[in-house]
Amino acid sequence: MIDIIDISKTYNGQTVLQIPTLQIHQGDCIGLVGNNGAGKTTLFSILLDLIPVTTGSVLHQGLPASESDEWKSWTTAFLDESFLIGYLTPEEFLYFIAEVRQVKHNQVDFLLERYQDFFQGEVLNRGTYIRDLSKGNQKKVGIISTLIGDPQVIIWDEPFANLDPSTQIRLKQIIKDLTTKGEKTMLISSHDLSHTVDVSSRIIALERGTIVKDMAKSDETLPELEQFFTV
Amino acid sequence: MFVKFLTLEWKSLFRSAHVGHSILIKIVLAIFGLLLAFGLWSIGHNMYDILDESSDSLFPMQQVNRFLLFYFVAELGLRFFMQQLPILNVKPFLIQRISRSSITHYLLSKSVFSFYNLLAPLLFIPFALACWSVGDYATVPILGWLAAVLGTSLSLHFFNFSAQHTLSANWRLTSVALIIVAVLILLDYSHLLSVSDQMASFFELILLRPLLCILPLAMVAAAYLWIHRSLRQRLYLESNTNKQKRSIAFADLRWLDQLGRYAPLIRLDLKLLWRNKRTKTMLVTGIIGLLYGLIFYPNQHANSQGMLVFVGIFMTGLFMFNFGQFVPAWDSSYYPLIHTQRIGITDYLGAKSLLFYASIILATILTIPYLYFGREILLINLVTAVYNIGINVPIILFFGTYNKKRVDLDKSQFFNYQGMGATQWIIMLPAMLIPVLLWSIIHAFVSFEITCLIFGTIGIIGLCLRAVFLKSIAQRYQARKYAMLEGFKQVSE
Repeated sequence: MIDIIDISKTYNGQTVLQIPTLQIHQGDCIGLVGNNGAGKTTLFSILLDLIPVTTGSVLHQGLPASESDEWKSWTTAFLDESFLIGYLTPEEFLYFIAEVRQVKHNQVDFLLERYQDFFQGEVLNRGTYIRDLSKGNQKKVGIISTLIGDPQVIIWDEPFANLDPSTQIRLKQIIKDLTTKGEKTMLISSHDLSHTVDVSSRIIALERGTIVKDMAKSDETLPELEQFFTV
Repeated sequence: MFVKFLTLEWKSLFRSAHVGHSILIKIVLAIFGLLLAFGLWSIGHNMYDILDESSDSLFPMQQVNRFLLFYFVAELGLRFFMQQLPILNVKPFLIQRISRSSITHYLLSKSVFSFYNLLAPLLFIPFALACWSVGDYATVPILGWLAAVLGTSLSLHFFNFSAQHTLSANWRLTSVALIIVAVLILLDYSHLLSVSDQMASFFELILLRPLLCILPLAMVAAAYLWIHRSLRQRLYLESNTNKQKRSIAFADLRWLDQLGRYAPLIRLDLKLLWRNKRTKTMLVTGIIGLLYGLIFYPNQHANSQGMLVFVGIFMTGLFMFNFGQFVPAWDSSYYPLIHTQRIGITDYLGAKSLLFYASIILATILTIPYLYFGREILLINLVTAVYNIGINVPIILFFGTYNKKRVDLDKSQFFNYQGMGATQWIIMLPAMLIPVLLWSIIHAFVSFEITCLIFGTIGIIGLCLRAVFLKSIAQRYQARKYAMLEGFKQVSE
């Protein structure tokens, strides 16, 4: 699905990310863990071609990310609030995404119906602009917006941060529902080890820009990670 | 404390994403500023001789005093529209042990180092020197007069910030102020109550009793204290972030669906224009700009055709210039979204250009009443509109690729000129001057009608090449993609 070939990212002579090779297969639900500055967001930004790589390349189904636009049709992402349009209402925003993804409006209605309780009645039909929503509610809109158009690859940076406990639990359920069939590929970064281990099928740990662990989830994964991150 | 703030400023200049760009622009501006300063100084210097020759009964100083009011009104107007309170990111300081008062003092003293504060000294110091060296007045009266004039100018500097704040929030007050000014001008003009004479006699009095210059100086202190007090009170986060919830009338704009793949983008742009204060101001300016012709058309004999072409380009294209120069910075707060969604850059540019075409056509229709001033003007406006559509739309979109400064839609107030300034005017020069030059060159050889025809044809050729232009601009977008993404992340300094 996604092939990372020998990429590195250097800022002013300092290497912040260096991955010789990494293959992400269809159906992987990857939990990306690491301390601040480990390179999680940098990796995601490179996958989405938002920052240039210093060396190497990223291939989406064999097509280079920086030269082709094709991958945008099967990939969605929510990294931060720059993926939201502040002066739209949540509904308008979701419809806008549907229009640029060439998806019918009723699919959005269907999604909203299905994830009604995810919003807890605080977001929709309020006539409030996204810029006036709280951080947590903004995040909910962003997360749901990435489900529009049945994408094959979904990338979320820190989806659990800023969410209230009930929504975190609901979100975990959503991730599990999405990945049970093994069709969707998900990349999720988080600082919360137990959430990550809970939902992922494969865990990748980054430290100072390099991959230090890459393993399929098992019962020992959580203790092993906790061991690893204990200083 | 001041030194600490200053080092922060220094760092923000040299560590921002657009270092090279902003330093280069600053150098260009500095050169312009020096030229202008030199010009003003020589005007001030020569003013004495010119005025000395023009009247026998009055001293040059007395003549200058009569025009002081007009000078001050013009200065205030200039400041009101062009000058802005320097921006300081206060949030991090508010919770530190720095008193609000000293933050405000810093902001205000920083504001004094402004080009606008050099205007009065550059004009009046050489003039006063000339008066003094000739011996019209003694040293002390001249010093008192100079202190009074410069003091008034400085108090206008501080008063302007209060006025901008008060008037920007309140339309009604703005109109009342405008009416008062208009009435005063009318009274002065009809000699019923001459404010300018009052002003003149006050400055005459200062020359007799120099100590009176304390009054304007006290005015500086009062204006300073006033703006200081109101700024200090405004230094709270709540007044900054202003998170009020509101309900919105939903406009679906379904009819735009006919535009196919451009439809969602144009709908987005219309909402952008309508729902943000910054852009709303721009719409208002676009409409007020249509009145620009009223300044020029009535005394047509004084106008060359080149001037009329300029007015035509300006009126029909004002919205395009205002909005276009910040494309794509308007979308800076969600630029990563644009780049990860299936929005082709050519589609993006196509949607913007359609919006410009619509605005130009609308403005042209609204300028049709100028037919009153002659068939010539209508023709010129029509062909300049075609020229704008064909040539200036791609030019403006091309210059837009140099944008990498974030535009904050949320933070803006009504009279917000953030990101706006002389820089933008320099960028606009080619778009405005090239057609004037072109017109003059063509018209030197052929008649008015043929010139119109050629001019319109140039515009239509440009429109036919639209796809080629958009494609090459899109390539520049692609080349500058990462630089823009990086620059737009930086919250304004």
